[in-house]
Amino acid sequence: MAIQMGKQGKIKIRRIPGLDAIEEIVGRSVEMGRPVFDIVGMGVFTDIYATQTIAGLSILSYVSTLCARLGAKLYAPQASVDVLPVAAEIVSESYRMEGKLEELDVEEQLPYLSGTQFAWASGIIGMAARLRPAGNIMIGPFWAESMMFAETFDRIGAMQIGGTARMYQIPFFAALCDYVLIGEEMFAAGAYVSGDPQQIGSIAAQDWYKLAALALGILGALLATAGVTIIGDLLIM
Amino acid sequence: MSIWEKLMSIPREVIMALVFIAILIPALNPLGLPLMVGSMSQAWYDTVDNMPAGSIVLFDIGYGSGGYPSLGPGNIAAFHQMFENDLRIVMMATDLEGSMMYPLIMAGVKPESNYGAVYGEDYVFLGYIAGTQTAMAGVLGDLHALASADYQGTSLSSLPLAAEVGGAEDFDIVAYMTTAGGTAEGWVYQAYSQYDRPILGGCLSMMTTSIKPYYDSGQMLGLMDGIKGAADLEFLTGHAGDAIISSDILSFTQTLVLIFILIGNVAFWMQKGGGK
Amino acid sequence: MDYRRDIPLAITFLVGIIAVLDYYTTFESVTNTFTVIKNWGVVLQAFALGLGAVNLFRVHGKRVSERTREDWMFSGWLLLMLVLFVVVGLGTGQYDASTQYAWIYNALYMPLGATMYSSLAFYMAYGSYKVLRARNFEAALLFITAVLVIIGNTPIFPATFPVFFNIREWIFGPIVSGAYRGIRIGVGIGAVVLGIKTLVGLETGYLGRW
Repeated sequence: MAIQMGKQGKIKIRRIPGLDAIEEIVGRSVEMGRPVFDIVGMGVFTDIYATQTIAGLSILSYVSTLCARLGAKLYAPQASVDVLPVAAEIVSESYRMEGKLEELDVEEQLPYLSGTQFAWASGIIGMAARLRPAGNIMIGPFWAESMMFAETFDRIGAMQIGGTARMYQIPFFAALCDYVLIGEEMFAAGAYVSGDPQQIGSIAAQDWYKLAALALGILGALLATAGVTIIGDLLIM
Repeated sequence: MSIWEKLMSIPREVIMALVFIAILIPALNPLGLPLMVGSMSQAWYDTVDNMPAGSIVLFDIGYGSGGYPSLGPGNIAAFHQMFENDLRIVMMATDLEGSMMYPLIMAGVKPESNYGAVYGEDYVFLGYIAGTQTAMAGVLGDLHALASADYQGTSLSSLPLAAEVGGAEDFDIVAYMTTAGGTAEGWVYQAYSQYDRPILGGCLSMMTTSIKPYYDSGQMLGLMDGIKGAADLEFLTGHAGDAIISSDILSFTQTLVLIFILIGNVAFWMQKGGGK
Repeated sequence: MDYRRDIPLAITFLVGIIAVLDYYTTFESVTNTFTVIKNWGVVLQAFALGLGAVNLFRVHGKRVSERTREDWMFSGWLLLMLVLFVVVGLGTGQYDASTQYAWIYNALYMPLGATMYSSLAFYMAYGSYKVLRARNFEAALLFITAVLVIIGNTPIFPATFPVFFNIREWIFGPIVSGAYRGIRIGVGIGAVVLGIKTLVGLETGYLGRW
């Protein structure tokens, strides 16, 4: 229903400043002659954070297209061996579609650093210190290294967008990044940047489900206060 | 630059240097500052204390080198209590580095010399089992279908404790210590929701806000929250170690951070007031 | 038909449907099929691991042979450590259970990992100082809450004045848990919707087609 309404142009969603700022970051990097970093996190395709990894790869696709089009140098260091070939293919495809494939050096710009957390984190911190990017986009599943990245890139003056659905790390991004995507905003990222009406409709469906959950929660709390636990019992079944 | 502007923009090197000194002083000279045992750590301790001798614990070492300073001391204290109470422990690791933590923990507990425990009868280590929730589901569903040998390749059928347990119904409680949110929540889904097994959890302090709802709702019986929780367990079990020393460090460094925060805010408001 | 787009989407749909059916049904054929797919996934991951090692050797081997970068010796060190751990693990036949492997792990990797994790304390200290400023009403609320939680978390304060522990517990209880559960519900719904979109081919960003 939401997708149908989206196709008919009946769905409008609010601006998400963090996603609007991606183009600003790439433009800034071109003006300053400094690279852009896009970090998709340490997730793999076989854990519970796979959806966050996919959201991060959607943004990588968008960012790499913009970088190819505008002439910014993109770095997207990788931590997962199963995500690496997918990310490399995504970026190569973006450059190919912009006719700039010869400007891409996959091994240098999408290096595999390490599968272990702090080896990967220290590798990225080192790359940031040497390359001094003007922009940093971190959308995906992040662990403790989120604070290190946010602080390091902030120190070198990079404009940052941070987005993750891993609750423990959201405060660190919120504290230090210029823009932050909280929780489900990153899942809407791919649909938002594409502007596809069908996909915009799916974001609306997401919000409708949330409203339903909110209504159930309020109703359940009121009923439970009155000693009626029917909502809770139904949901446990 | 006015004094307030300087106080608002103290260089990070100065702050980090002072934090380093605040860490060094109590580390070199433990002060034995008072600590208050938290209710969640007390609940962990009481739960283990009330378990009858011979009960079987499934324990997941779900952390590696990064988490060892926070969780290792608590793990050692927890094992001390379990061995003292004659509980039997089936250990596993859902973290890739967990199997490297096992010898470090056992070196701290020394179950054979301290408690007369016998490997294979009182405790057994299955090693790293890949797959996080898949591993949990496998161990709780049918342990012997998932693993046929222990950490060192010894057949499980030759180890009395391992031969005795088949799945969730044979474990009296599930306990874990982990730095991974997926592991912490995974055990709730797999052990509590699927098999109604009671759970004890240990996690980093920054994960407490996310894991505490499970404790509040009764899905977990105890929660060791980071180094503070580890210090509580060391205090309760009477096996003082690195965590209690670290609680002194925690007192020093967090007080220092509070002072910096207050300085920054006072400077901000004084500078703002002076600018009107 | 755009085969570069449609064939991967068809594969995604097929595998996804089998995974969903495996979760919700108990048909043996579905379970067996999904087990085979999972085993293929394990094999793919194993090959990908080799790909990662090859990537490391290519990139860092090139830096060592060319020696144009200032930090080429670190690339050499990386390759040396990589080979050392593999040789020791495989050479003893006991992989990570051998005492030799445990020794080099405890002597080299363990302190580095613990140090990196511990460095978070410094990052957090500076981040707290810089960020927790009561610039406006919302920031002031954040500042007050953060200060109360930090005091409650500092062992010496609750031990001296137990009221701080109770304040911290109250903040963690109704306020934090409530907010956390709200975000958690949103994240869960978002993940499900993204999963469904990926399954039916609406989400194609991971294919390089945003």
